[in-house]
Amino acid sequence: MADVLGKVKQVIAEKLQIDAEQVTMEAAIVEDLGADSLEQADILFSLEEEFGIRADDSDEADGLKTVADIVAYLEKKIG
Amino acid sequence: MSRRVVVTGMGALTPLGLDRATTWEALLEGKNGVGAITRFDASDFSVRIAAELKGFDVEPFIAKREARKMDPSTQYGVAAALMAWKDSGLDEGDFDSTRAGVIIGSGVGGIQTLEVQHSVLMEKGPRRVSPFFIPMLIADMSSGMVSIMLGLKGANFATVSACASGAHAIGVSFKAIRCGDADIMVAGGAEAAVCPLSVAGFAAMRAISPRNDQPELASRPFDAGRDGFVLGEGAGIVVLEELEHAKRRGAVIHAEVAGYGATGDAYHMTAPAPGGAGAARAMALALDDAEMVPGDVQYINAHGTSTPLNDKFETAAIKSVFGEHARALAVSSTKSMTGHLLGAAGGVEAIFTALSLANSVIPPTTNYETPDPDCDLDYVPNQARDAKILNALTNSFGFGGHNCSIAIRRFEG
Repeated sequence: MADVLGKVKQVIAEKLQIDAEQVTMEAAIVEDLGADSLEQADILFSLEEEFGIRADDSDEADGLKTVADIVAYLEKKIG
Repeated sequence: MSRRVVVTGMGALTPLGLDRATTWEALLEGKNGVGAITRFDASDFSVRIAAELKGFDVEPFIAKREARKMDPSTQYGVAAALMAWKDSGLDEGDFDSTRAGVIIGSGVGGIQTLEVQHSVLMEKGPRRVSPFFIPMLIADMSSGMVSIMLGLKGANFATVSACASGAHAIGVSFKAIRCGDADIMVAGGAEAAVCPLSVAGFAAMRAISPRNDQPELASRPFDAGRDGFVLGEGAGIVVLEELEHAKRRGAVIHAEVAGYGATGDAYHMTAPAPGGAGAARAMALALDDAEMVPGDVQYINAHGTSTPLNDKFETAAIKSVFGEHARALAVSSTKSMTGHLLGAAGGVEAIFTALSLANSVIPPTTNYETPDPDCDLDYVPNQARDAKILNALTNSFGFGGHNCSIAIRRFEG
C-alpha cells in the first residue's frame, strides 16, 4: 500500500510538476490537482508502465477521480 | 488611403544568439553559427554539422509543466513570440483581442517528437505512445500556444511552404491587416529540425553541405565552392500592426511592411524553375504591391541557401526583375552565418531586413571567396556595410516551388 501510494505520488507530481506533498489520498486529479484530459491519460499510461499492468478501454480506469481511487485500482490490478 | 502595416515588435532565437540584439550584433561582426552536431551522435552520418541553437533555456518563457507538452519547435516559436510581444509594448497595452491574430509557419513541425514517439511505438507498442504526441507533432501548435498565452482571438493558423513558411506567414498577416480583417498580427516561423531523421533525409537529397571538417565555412552562398545549405534551427517572430493603431499608443515602429508577392513554380518538387522565373515573378509582385519600381530598392536579403541551383537562379531572377539596377543593388545572404532555419528563415530574415533599414547597415555574405560566373552581383562580401537604405526585399523560396518576396520600407514617420 505505502509502496503503491509512493509511486503514484511520484508519477503524478512529475507529470503535473507539483509538490509530491500535494498529492494526498483525498485529492481529485482534475478538480484539486488541475490535470486536463491529456494529462490524466498521460498519468494512467505511466502508471501502467510503472506497475506492468494494462487497463483495457472498457475498464473502470476512466472513472478514477481521486488519488485513493487510483491506488485502490492499482492494488486490485496487481493483486 | 489604404491601411498601412508596420513592424512594432521583433523576437528572434537563432544559432547566433538567443535574442534579437545578440543575433544582430553577431551578424554585423560576421560570426558563424555552424558547428559539429551535438544533439545526437552523428558519427554514422555523411553530414555531421548543423547550426544548432546553443544554451536555450525554456523556463524563463514557459512553465516546465507546459513546456514538456511542447515540441522544441513550439517552444522556440513561443519564446520568440513572447520576446516580440514584449518589444511591441502590447503586453502593457490596450487592444481588441478579437482583432489580433497569430500566423506562425513551420517547415516540418514536430519532427523531433515524431522521431521519439515512433521509436516508442516500435519498442514498446501502441499503448505507450504519448497522449501529447499529436498536439506536439502538428505544425500549427506555435500559433495555437501563442494565442493561448497572449489571449489573441483573431485569425489563427499556420503556413506550411517548406523554407518559405515563415515568409508566407508574414505576407498573409500583412494582407490581413491591410484589408481590415485585423489590427495586430503575430507572425513568423519556428523550426527545430536538427535531429537524426531530418539530417539523414536532407543528406540523402544531397541538399546539405558535407563540409564536416570546416563547419564554419560550409554555408557559403553565391561562392563558387558552395555545396549545399547547413541545417539550422530557431524562430523569428514579428508583431505587425496597423499604422494608426501603433501611432495612437505611441509604439516604437521598426519598419513598414509595404508589399507581398507569392508565386508557384509549377515545375519540380525541389529544383527551382529555370532562370528563377517563379522567384522573379514573386519579387515583381512584391514591388508592384508596394507601389515601388526596381530603382527604389537598395537591398535584397536573399534566400541565398548556398545550394548550387538556388543561388544561381536567384541571381538570374534578380537580374531579370531589376535589369541594369541589379548591379547597383546590395544582395546578401545572412544564411552564410545563421545556417538555414527552414520554416523559420523567413521570420528571422524579415527581422534582419527591418534592422538593416532602421540602422542603415547591411549584414554581409560571409565565406565569399571565389566568384562564380553565374553569381555576379554585389553580395556584400564578408564585411558589413554602412548604407542608407529606404526600401528592401526579403526573399524566401521553398521545396514545392513556393516563392515569396516581402517588400519592407524604412519608416520615416
